[in-house]
Amino acid sequence: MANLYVFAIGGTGSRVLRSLTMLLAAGVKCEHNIVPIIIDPDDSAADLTRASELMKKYAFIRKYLSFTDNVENRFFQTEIKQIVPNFRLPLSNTKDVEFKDYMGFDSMSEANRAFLSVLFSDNNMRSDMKVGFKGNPNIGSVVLNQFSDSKEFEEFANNFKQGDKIFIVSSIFGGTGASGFPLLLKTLRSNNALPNHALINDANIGACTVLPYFGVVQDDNSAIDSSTFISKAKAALEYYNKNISGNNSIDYLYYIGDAKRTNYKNSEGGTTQSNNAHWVELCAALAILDFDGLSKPDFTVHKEYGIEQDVTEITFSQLCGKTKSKIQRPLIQLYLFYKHFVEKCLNEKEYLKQPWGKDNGYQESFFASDFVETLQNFFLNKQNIGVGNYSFRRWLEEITSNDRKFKPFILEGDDPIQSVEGITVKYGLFGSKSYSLISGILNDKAKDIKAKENSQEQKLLDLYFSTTAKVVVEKMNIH
Amino acid sequence: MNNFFGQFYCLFQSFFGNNLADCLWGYNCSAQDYTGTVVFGQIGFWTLGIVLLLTILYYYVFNPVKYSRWYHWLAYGGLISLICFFLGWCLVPSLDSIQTCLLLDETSGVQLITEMDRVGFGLANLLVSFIEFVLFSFIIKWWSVNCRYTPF
Repeated sequence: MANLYVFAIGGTGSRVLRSLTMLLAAGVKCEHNIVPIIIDPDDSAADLTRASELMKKYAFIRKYLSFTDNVENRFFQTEIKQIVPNFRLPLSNTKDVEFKDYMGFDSMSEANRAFLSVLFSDNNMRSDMKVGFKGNPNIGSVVLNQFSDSKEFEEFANNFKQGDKIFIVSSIFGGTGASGFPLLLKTLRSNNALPNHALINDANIGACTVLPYFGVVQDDNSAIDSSTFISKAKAALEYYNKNISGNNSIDYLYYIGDAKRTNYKNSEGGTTQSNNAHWVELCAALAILDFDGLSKPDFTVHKEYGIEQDVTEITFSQLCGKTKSKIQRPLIQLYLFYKHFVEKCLNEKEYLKQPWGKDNGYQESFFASDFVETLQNFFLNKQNIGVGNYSFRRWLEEITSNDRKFKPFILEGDDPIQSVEGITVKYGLFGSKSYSLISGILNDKAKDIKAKENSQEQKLLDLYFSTTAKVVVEKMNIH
Repeated sequence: MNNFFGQFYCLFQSFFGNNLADCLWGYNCSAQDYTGTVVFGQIGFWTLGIVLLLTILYYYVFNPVKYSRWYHWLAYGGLISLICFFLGWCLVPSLDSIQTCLLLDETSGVQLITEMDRVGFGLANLLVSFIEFVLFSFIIKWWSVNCRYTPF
């Protein structure tokens, strides 16, 4: 299977990867393997750490699974490949160094120093790049020039094969993303020193440039000022118009943004930069999946994204047909899987009591294994309740907490089947309901699953996938 | 079948006494022989049918997910047995209809069959029904979706 290299630049890039990972865990179709490469000078950024940890957990779970015709499961179907450590392209010489020292300002001629003083303010010159470029794309455009020299970038180029694709995710209103995207694209299209440069130069390249969709609380001590986001975005768009889409160097360019903006805590970077997951990031992740199925066009294709109605609370009902058919069923299945697995299977040890567990010989030892622990952490991550929590549950909580929220589920609901916003399931008078209904279908499916000689891990996922599929199709009438 | 049920119930004859047993075997005072209607078969079939029906209901109709542990099964079996206790008590002939030679010791005038013997037969029916419930459970549980490991 060919690879889709996703370069995720800056904090927004990492957060989009987090949403993408959730969609892939749910089994949303993707024809390529995903190879994420994060470009972020701030190696301690909580958003980066969360995305990276989440993808590691995903990859760990997936290595126990196979996806042949003999198995039912489609959760975690797409492979997320790690070709660089922590999925991150390292940037050298950005820690504990001021920007002017990075450029060797003091050793420059007087004329050069005078010229640089025109381009960079004193604050820019004294800026410490440990936590990124703090909303200054002019700094980023200098520092990020180095990434193409790294052995990790060379590794990417070495791995690149015919049929592989590239997608770049960045925000346009910050520092790292706004500057990194044009630089990276230029490198990919014109750097002839790279291995496989002919393939890379001519590759199908898409990008999603995320327009302003959040603000930050005004803080005089912070270099980040959200009142400049719009003007920065305008300036960057003008640049992109001439140098990116104007010269057809990009094949697909997705614009995603939102006029309704939530204000986040003002953080310049580091472990405190952990913005809530946002609907716009999920849309950007959908752009990646849309690009996945597209062939190279003759000229740049521009795409935007919209919802059926302009509402502040988006449920599946507000999604247009294509998005709905793509994500509704998988996300509901993953949600039902998470709820039953955590609440019933693990908390009440149902695997020891119900026929589905007994048929397949599940013992406590299996449910104490690394696989199950990782799966549990993927869903809940109980040990980490702070900003480092990368779990599916936390992602759902965050994405429903913005001013424009994506609220597909009633998270507080006691009955997971009745927790899908906009869908009411009618139960029979005597039939099982809620968790019992799911357990009953698990019991029913267990006989078929038992007959197939798969691993315990495979059987568990097969069971949950086929069961949740039946609930969604037969009870919710979603096909 | 009358013989079979009769012998089965008579395993618990100490609960309801020899005289009531004779009555149920169809003892005829006039003929001084067992020429009357044997009641064991009638009660036995009713009990068997009810137990079978309720066991099938448990495993295939109610087919409970939540209430499929051994103690739920035991409680359900208890309920069936209780129903069969009353069934046995009601179906056994009333004292009025029992022949005098079985009911009274004609020389001493002592009552040989009392209401407690009828209750005792109800208890015997309770035990018989529970044994049948266990038996049916182990025969039919394998094809149940949620209770194929019930009671274990």
